[in-house]
Amino acid sequence: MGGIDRTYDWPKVIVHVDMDAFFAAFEIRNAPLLKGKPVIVGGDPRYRSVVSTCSYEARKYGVKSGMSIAQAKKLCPEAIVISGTLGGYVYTASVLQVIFEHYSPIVEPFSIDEAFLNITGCHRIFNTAEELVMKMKAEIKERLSLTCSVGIAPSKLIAKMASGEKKPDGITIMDRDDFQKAFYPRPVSSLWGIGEKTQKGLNKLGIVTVEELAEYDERMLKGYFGVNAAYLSKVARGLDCSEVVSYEDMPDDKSMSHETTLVTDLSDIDKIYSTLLWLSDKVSRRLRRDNFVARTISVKIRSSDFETITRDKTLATPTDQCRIIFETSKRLIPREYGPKIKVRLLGVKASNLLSKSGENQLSLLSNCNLDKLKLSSEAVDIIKNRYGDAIVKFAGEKM
Amino acid sequence: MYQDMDEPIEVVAVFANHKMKPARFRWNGRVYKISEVTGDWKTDIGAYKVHHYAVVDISSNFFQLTFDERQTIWTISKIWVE
Repeated sequence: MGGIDRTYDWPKVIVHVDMDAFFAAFEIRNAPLLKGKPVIVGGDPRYRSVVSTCSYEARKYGVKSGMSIAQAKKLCPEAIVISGTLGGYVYTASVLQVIFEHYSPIVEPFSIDEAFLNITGCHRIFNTAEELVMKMKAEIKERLSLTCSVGIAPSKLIAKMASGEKKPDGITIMDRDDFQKAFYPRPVSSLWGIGEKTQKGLNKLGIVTVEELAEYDERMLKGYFGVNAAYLSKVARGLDCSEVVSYEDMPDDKSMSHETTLVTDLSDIDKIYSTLLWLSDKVSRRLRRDNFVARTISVKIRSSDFETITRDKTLATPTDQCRIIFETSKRLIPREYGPKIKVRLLGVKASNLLSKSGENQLSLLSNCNLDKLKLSSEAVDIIKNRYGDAIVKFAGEKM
Repeated sequence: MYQDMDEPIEVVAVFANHKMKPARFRWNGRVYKISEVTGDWKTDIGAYKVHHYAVVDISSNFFQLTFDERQTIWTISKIWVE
């Protein structure tokens, strides 16, 4: 060790950690007979479901996240489909967070299997940034038997792009010059945050490569992409000033939502309502736990032919009560859904959140009924906090 | 693939380095000696923890075992079947 520290004169040193095929790697670690085999982690293979992630062996066949399991099995008939271990993934992510905090006080969890670390200054303790990262990777390997790929860069954007360069188990150090060398010849879709729709829009303007986007006049882009033009122009040039924000410093949630893809498309309105009640209960429990009340309630409905609509209502008085959220969401479901249009996915969202301190809920119910409702919710919360969510259910709730 | 199960088992566990590890278990009258704990994690049920262990026995069979703190009970939750 003790080589040249390429990050020596960088004003900021940012690390992006991306766990390699996280869910699949977790399952392969648990059952080593899966090593070297195409493994797909998705929903219950007996029902319709999609690929959450897959092993690198399955990726060779063209299997991708978000693809239906049926389609994935067509591409790779010998693939082993596992329904996944959500609790295990969540626990492992919490252990990873603890490990990351051994190397930096500023850790931003970006998703269940990705995080940014601002290691500016900390890396001197380990001699170089690369040595810090090697030590961190070794600790992850030792404690969890999992590997990750890491990007080290002067910004979050370049660190994120760099971590995908040497997968699996790689480390890539990339400054802005390296970024331009590596990414300028590539298609615009290789940039972070550019999806299929934006790519098509850019292609229509004759912009195919990252270099073409970087050199395109931002004012011209504005005509097509509005406020997103500035982001597109900056990302192509590798410019990013955003900070790594630790979980404690993140702004409060702006909304809380739960949604579920139903096991089969539903036409029975009672079953739709019972799912809505279950979702309303989940949302209201989160509101009460975090001491918020919501002014706006929304529902999201996806039909069997994949058409998605959302409807919302702003309440006269904000609430954290399941019954009010449920009654509001029920009224937001258009009549044709169920009897005429089958439902594939349902979601309930509470937004326009206010801190609960000093708030008074009057609303749909009389004060006396609301007090009873609040007391019963509090009692149910205490029981659920002690014995788990499954211990008490509404009579009409989805089983 | 895994087959879901929910059957009580008797377990001999080792407590070392602030950790609990299953060493062998009796299921349906047969004793399975664990050669490796390949993974472990915890989940919450209310205020209680459920401890999960992915294990391999000496005949290379794969199992997932769980220990429910509240009920103080071990169960076999998954078994790998070809």
